[in-house]
Amino acid sequence: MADQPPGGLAGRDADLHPTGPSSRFKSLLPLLLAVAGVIAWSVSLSSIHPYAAPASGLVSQLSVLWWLGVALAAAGIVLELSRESPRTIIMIPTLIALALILHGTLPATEPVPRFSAAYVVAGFSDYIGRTGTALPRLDVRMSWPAMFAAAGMMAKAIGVSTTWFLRWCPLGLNLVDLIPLKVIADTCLRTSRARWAVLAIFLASNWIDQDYFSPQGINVFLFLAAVAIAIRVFAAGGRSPKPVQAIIDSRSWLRLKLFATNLLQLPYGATPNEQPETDTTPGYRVALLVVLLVILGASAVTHQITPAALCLVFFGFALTGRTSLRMLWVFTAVLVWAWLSWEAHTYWAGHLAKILGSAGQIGSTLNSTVGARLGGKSFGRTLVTDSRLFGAALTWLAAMVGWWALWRRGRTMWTMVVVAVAPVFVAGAVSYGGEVALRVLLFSLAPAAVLTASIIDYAPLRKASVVFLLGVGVLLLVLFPLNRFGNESFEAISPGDLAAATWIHVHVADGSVVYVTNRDEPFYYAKVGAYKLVEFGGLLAASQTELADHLPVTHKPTYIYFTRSQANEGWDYLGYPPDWLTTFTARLLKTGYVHVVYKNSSALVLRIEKSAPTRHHKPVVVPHPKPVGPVTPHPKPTPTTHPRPTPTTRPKPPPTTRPKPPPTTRPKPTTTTTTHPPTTTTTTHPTTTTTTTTTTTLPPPALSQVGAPSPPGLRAPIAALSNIVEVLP
Amino acid sequence: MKSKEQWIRIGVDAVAAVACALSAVFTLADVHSPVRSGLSALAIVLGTGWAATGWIRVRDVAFAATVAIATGVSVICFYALVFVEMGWWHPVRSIGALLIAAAAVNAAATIVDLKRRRAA
Repeated sequence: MADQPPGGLAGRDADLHPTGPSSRFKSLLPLLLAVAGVIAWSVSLSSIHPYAAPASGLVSQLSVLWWLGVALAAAGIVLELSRESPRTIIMIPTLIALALILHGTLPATEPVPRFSAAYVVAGFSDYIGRTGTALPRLDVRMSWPAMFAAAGMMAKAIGVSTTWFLRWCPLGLNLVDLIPLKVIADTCLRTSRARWAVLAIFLASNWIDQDYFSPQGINVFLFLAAVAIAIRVFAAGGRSPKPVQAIIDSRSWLRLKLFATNLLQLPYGATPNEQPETDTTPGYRVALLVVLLVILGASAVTHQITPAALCLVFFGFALTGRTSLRMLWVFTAVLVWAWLSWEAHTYWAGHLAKILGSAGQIGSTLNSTVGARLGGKSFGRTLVTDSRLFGAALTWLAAMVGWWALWRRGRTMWTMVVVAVAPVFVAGAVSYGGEVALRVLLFSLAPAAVLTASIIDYAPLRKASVVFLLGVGVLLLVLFPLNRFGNESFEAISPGDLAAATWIHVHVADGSVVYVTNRDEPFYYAKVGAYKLVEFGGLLAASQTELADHLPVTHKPTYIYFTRSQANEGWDYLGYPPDWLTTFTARLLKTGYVHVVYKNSSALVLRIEKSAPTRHHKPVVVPHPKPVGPVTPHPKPTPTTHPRPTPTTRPKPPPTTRPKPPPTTRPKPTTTTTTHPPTTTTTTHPTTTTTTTTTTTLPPPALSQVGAPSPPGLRAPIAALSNIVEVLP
Repeated sequence: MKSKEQWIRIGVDAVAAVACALSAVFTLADVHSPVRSGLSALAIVLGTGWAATGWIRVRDVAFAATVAIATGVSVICFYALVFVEMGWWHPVRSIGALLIAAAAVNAAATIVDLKRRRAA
């Protein structure tokens, strides 16, 4: 697969890179630019404070040096691409520099791993690593446990926590994804320049944030590897199966094709641009077929969506005659169904209608999932969501222009069109919550990058092609911080958030109930299943009286876990008022049933202590106007013994007259009592003092106990959250 | 096969064998070392993948790396899953055995490639 013969640029190339003593500097200039970019970037990191990010994310915190770093690294790549045959030894470090700047900024500035979903994956892996069993009834993802089991096994064997994998995983996965992408580019494109350009475009367009340590992150790599093997070794030269070929050869199809080619000003006869391996031996093909099947098998037991996407891609290849393995899609479908029937049956047996309920409704599924993510929010959020929509549209539009331009030159690239389009049908085949649109876009990124780069896949290059590609690249880079770092206000997990979760894991007995306001927290990074995690749901909107009535009777030790990430998710993402968590916390504390047992600069842990009311002081339950979420049912008074007063005359029990839970009946976890440090025990679990006393005699923030540093520059409402106890009367 | 390619292949075989062997020692003896985590993680994925696919004569470096890494990831996923399904869960011993096997295969590949080199 040699490059095209040197064309008109060769002479100019020679002028740009003359030989001689002075040429060494020019020859190393791309590398020097990349190094300078990394230096500028590393200096710029001190200006970034992820835990003080506003609703628009980190973009407002990026200094000129950060942008200079991006510009220098990109300039190094562009300069090297100006050669007709970019040098591998220069391209690799310059691409690594760009990847480091774009995908290494978050791990470099956040001392603990980000993103609550990654912590859940670490928790699942930790659970299997400790016990050797999965918990499919706890979470649907545990029905595909292979990746969790592998991570748990590796963590145990190499002596680390499963959270060890999290922090730098996005950068690592982006770099690893470039390897099969290079194979795909080498197969689909003909010039070395275009092949390398694919990798830079992919790095700049991958803002989707699905590259955290997770089954889908790993499966994107497996997806690209499977596609690379299929199109490189098992290509079929464009001959479709007989029934399909009969349709293609029919007169009406030919008329339609003629009409379309005339409309789009395309040449009627076009040849495939792909150049698969042809001189292969049967043994080589069998070996790679085995590898391909192993990859498909691994994908089927690790992830729900990727094997479905691969099945659709292989079906598209078979229809368009792009693979000699025409039954590969059937094999993939059988693998998926076999795993669903065997291991994942605990999930789908009760949820089949839910999984397949939206089959065929691609538009509505995409509308609902995209729409849910674009709800009306603050200006900062609107900016981020609009920018993301624009980024996605730009990626697809550039790919379409590249494809059209390639066809105009008499070449087609149907393999990449199939890979880009086929995953869209996954959205129509299954319900996968609010992320399916992102997954579809994620699978489309690599083929879109190849199609976009195909605009410069010829020589000599015309100015318009170069300008177009440079424009797309600059736009993607400009949008990248807004798109990629736009969720940091709530997706960053601060050390304090993690410290509070650790405090609960250490001090709270297994089997306890832990309430949260939303799941944007790192609680289950360990001890998965040890606690019952419950969301407040409708109680978030309840008044203080309603809260007092509806807080659960604590038959088991019951705690509340509030973090800055939960507060910011409510504010920035769910559209709650800025001080919603502060207000809610104040209401909770005023009920008298709740008191603070741990706090640091960004997180609070509270304990609910509410015993079952005595017979004569049983509060009257007024039906709540709305569902109140997962609350323990309140015992209703018996009409014969306690005539129910009307709501208007219902006495509101003041905090001072509220029946104090007798110490003997309050559930007291033995683990908590025995493991608490002495100071915490006496102040946070007083058996004789009132709740008011508890809140006023709180210990100083226990952050130092778990070694979590205070994040700089907390935003005002979150700081208020941490100081809520002091502002209470 | 060109001479340069042969030497690269022999080098990769040897490095993979040594990395897997060292990682096996680190794992089974529970050696506390700053390099243990990174080296072992790489050896488990890359060493295993190369042991399984190194004998396939893939000419392109990126393609060979793709095949080796994808196979390594797939093998470790299947390997762990088998033990979960069997209900026999001994992570340290299991990974130790895998690394020893991978080291042995890679060492054998090194010897075979050296012999081929001499014969050529």
